[in-house]
Amino acid sequence: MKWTLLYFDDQLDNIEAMTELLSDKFHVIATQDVNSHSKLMEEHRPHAFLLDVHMPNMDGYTLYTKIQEHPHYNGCPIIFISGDQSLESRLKSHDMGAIDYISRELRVEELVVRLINKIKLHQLTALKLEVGNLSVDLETFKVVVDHQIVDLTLLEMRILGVLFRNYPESVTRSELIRKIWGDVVVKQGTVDTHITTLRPKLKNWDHTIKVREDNILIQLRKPQ
Amino acid sequence: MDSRIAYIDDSLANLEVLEIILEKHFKVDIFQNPLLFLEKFPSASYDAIILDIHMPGIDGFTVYEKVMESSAYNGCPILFLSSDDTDSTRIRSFELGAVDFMSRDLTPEEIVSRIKSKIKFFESNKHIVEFGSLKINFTELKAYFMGHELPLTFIELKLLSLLIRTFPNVVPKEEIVEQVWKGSHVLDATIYTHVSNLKAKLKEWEYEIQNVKMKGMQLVKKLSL
Repeated sequence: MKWTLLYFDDQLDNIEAMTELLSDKFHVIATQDVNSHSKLMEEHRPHAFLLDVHMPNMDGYTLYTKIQEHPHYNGCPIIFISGDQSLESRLKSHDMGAIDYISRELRVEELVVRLINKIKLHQLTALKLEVGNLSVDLETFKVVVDHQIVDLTLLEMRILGVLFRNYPESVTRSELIRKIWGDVVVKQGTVDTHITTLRPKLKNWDHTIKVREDNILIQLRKPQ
Repeated sequence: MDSRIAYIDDSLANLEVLEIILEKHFKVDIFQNPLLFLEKFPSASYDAIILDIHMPGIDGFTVYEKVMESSAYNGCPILFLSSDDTDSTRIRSFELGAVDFMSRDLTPEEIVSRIKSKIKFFESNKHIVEFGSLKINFTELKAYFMGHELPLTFIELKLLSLLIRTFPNVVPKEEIVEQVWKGSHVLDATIYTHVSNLKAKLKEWEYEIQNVKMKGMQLVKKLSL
């Protein structure tokens, strides 16, 4: 499973270099066309945006604002990348509230770690979660699968929440029990019971909850 | 209202120099002893925590982990501040999950700007809401009262969240039915029972749920005795 990254840069060689460096961990969708952001946001559900700062047709700061204001913006991290490490540019980025401003000089290892750090931070704190065609709004408690509202119990929502926040990694039954039931003593089998009841409610989801011995995780559903 | 931040550093010189700068923008609590910070932070409510990394005894990474494990942690941004600006230290900081890593070489202006930026970012993405002694963690879907988990039914949690979100306004009955019971037909008596149960669980709260005749419900702050 790779994170989807939408990358805007006016220089083709930056695009080629970055795509190659990041393709291990990311599905990189890169373009020089800043105006295509709207179409790209509708077609793909990115886990993060990476924006060059100095671009002739529209600078990164303006694009940042346009992305945030776009009706399809899913709240994911929007990160700047630039060779310009001047105080002025960095301050402008911080003052706008951008979550990170990365230097082009960084090692790939650090670039990857910082991008994933921001994606995971979003996963851990976001109130609107999405995996495939399932979205959960933790403020209104609304769960939608394939455009239809699904009725879940509080425990089912908590289980889904823990799995979402660890996605794509797995959680052990003990960890799940600790996070959901706290200190209350709960039989390991209880987790399985809840998942068995939960699965049919999510039958139209393009992902599924997989139980592999002691590890539980969300995975893309294999076509039948 | 100024945000309150905690700054932990084993060097008194660092603490004093940065405190002067930070105090112009925030309310600052400085800690030379990380253990004292760990004792204090559950009862304080910081908007940001700034951590030095290399400290004798217990280092910044360990303090970070202890804060994250604590049920008292309010989700505020945690930023590392260190003169150790090597690739491996920065990578470790970000791998742990810190929101930012600041090198001590940064100008005071940038340090302040980055802290403000992260506080603002978290303010607009509040997944943990504190209301007096009550805390609702929306990512966990759990409520805590005076630091202990408050068991609530799903309906009680929905009601409480709605009242908190709408505070200090009145939530019309129609909206309660729509948000909590998904608009399905529900008897007034049923609503009353659930609200009653919820009130009983929140007897010691600084706020109370009041019925507004012919309109709906609202949360009000109790007058102190």
